[in-house]
Amino acid sequence: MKVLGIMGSPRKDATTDMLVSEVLRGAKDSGSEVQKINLVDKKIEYCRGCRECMKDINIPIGKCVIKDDMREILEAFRVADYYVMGTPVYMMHVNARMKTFLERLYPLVRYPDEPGPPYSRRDDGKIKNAVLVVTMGAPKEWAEAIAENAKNSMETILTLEGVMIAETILGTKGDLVPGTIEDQEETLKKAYEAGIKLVES
Amino acid sequence: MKLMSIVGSPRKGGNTELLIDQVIAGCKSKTDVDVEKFFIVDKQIEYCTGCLTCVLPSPGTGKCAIEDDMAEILDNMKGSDAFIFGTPNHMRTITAPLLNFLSRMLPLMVFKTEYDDKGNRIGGEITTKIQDKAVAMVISQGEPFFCSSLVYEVLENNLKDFNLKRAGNVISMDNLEEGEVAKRKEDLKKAFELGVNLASIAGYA
Repeated sequence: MKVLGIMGSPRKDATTDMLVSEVLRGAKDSGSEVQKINLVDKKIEYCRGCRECMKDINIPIGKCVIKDDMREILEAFRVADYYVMGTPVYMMHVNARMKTFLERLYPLVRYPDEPGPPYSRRDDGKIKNAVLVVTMGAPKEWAEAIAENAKNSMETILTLEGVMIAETILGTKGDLVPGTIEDQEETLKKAYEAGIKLVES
Repeated sequence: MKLMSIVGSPRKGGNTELLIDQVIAGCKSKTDVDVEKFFIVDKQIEYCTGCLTCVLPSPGTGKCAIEDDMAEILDNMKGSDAFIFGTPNHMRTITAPLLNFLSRMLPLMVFKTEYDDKGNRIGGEITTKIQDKAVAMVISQGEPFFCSSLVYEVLENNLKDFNLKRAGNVISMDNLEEGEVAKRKEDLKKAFELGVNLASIAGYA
């Protein structure tokens, strides 16, 4: 089983990275093949909204006119069995780097013949599971409210890709000293266990 | 009146831009307008790195640590009377360039933060350097039936956080093809009226 981790924070080894890595470690210890992509290391341009990828909806990955690292990531995303998606909250939303990535997943969806919402190009009808990691500087008392838009937007977009969020790990109070998380031991344990549960789902 | 129009769409001459042009026309029908209109994707604007040094520890440096076009834009924002923010709906929320633009506006905020003895943030208040200026927002989307709250609420709540006076919004749907909004006379009219209202909220009509 292949688990793909997408790490959206610009800061490596800080809260988001720690939690995504811990979920992946849980998955790996359960015998899965894991891969982590740090978006900050990749060249991914903004979607141009040209809809060129919708011209041929019968190929597994629509043709994107932009030649950048997203080409190989789209293939990795298509073949993965499980996902770990990590983003810090910026402006009460996923960060823009993650949003750029999510928009560029467009070639993996197609539209039905009748007017209606797009859906995944995979025709196996399988729903794949994901663990979502959302981190913030705010303390845990505010966490649910602050993570709301990031969670909803991630859930909405992943649904189009035939991916369902099985569990969400919130990392709080992560901004002041990078790499420290509120209730760190407990949160890391939760992330590790989420990784184990994910690949058993 | 000085008006800055921020186009969050990647497409030139697309529906979002056409709607913004109507809002500008509405403003111009009421007063002399000095317009600065630009596409975010045409500017060199790096991703926010979340270092927060512009605002923390409060009051922060008030400047962004990244040197790019954003410094000049933020200066011009301080000198503007009103703004138009426009975005298409990309994957059921605002576009990535606009989301990044909003993040890079953080140096316009001033945090007055209260800490307890252990250094925990316990409260405070936020003022901004574009306090009480006027703003209008336009949204265009291909989806014909409903507009996701992740588009207008995310944009509106962020603009609210900058303490801007909101003149209203226009949401135009069923515009999948480039320029299709030209057929939606009602929406174009609403955009024009939004411009009239924007001038009035900014104190120019």
